[in-house]
Amino acid sequence: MHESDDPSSRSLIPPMAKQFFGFVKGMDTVTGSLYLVLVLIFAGVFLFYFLPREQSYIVFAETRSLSVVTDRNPELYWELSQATLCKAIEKPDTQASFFEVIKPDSDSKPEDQCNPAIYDVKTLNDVAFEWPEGIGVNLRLQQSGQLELLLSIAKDAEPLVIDGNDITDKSLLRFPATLLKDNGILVLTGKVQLGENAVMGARSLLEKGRYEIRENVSWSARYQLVQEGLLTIGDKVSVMRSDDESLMNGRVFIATTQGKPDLLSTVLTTQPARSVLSIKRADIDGKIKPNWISRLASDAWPAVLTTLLGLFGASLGIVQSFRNIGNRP
Amino acid sequence: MIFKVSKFTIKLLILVSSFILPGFFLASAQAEPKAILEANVVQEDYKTASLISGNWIVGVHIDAEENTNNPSLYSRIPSGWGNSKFCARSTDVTGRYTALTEYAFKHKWGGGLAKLNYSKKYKSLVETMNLKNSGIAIHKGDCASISEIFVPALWNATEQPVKTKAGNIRLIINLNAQRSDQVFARGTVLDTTYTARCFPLPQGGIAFNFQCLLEIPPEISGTLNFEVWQVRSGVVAKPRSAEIILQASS
Repeated sequence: MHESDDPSSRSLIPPMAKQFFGFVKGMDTVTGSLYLVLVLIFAGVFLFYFLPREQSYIVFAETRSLSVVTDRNPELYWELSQATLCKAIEKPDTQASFFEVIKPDSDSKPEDQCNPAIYDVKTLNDVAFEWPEGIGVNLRLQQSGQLELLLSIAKDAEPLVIDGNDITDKSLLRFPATLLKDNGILVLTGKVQLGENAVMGARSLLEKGRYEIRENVSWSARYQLVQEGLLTIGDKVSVMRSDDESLMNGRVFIATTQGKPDLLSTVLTTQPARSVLSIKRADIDGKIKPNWISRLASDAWPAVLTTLLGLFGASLGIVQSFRNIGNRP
Repeated sequence: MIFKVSKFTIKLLILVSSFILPGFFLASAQAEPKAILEANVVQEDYKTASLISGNWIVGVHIDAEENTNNPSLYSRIPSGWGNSKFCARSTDVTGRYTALTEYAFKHKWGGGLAKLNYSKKYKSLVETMNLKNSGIAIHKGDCASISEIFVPALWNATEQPVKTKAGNIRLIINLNAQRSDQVFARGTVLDTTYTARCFPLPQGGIAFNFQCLLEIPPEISGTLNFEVWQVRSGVVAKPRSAEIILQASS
């Protein structure tokens, strides 16, 4: 009979499975059951590590800039000693007369000054304020060591009031170079991006860093390291939701870098969620997320299971050997 | 001779005319181009990597009704460009899609609306492009040259500009002002200055990150001097300028 005419060849059971069942059928009940258990364990382990899960990220970066859109966090309160406010004059672009007073600055102008056609400059002595939700903060370290915050305030955003000044969109808040030394670390929470686009003339790049991705891999509730990697100069890093690729809320700590006064030391952490790490370079738009191999490789349980099964198999082999010796005529 | 017209024939005529007449009026609403120019594609790519754009003006457009048959590109080309090549530089906001397309007139050109055929290599991508996610800048000279003389493009749009409440048309100019906190711009044509409204794009792309809107009366023809002030960290840089040649639709 031709092979294609054989009804068994049209069976829905794949040939490999048939071979396996044939193989198991040829065994005694104990050995067959043992094989089935082993296969089920293997399938269970594979399925367990293959299942998608939530990730938590920790990003350590030495950078000269970062951006945050603040979230609603009543604990987000800054209390600092002194600052210079360059309050943007409201909507100068709609006034034709604005162009009559605007004059370009000379190249030698100190970077701590603000053009009077655009800004109203004030010295603040009591900088204590709560961050409302939805404020865009572009924080950058100047060459002079000053810390500068560009504040973006949407029309419908809650007002940001600092030392009695209602802050306008695109205002600048500048802190002296000694700020972090005098006041310790700064904290911001919200949608965080570390670094800026590596474009011609950029001065506030992320210099270097590394990231850690943690997942709840094992049966315990402990989040453990499943993947890590390095960041390089010019990277722009953020954490995005897996489903809609929107930026995720996180917490960023900002401190001075030991021995490097021209760099900020930052640590970004995010809560567990289905998420990806986005690293934008000039030539790469990478999204990093652990897969089942990295989960399996980072977890101690498969190694423990393999060792236990190995020991069990070896013990069975030894018992079988003794039985064979005892059964000899 | 008397024809007997049945009710069915009348219904059929109404049905057929309901399909044909709107199409006829739509077609007549769009001005006919005086020339259709073939595209000489110098470069067109969609890369997995982003390119950093070196041009500061990466899009000069007139806000117009969306076209249903894309990719489409129209522009009012001045008579003075009849003897030379001109170039359309296109990019999407990410800088991944870039194209350089050259055009030239084969016959004497008296100025007016020209249809510029566009490459269909990335049709499915290009036909979804709009003025928020892409830009096209048509400048004088071939694509190897750097020119700051532009004509506004009607990019994936009909020839019918969108009018503001005041009856003006809107020029949309995409800028690559990467290091700027703020951008201020104005346009001067025929001794009248119009103030632009410039704002950063939320997606902050690699190819361009600011957009300026300039409202001008539709009947204006002439060379508009477009000036841009960029502000970074409180410092105003020296203004840059470009020329945009405007031709009112006749």
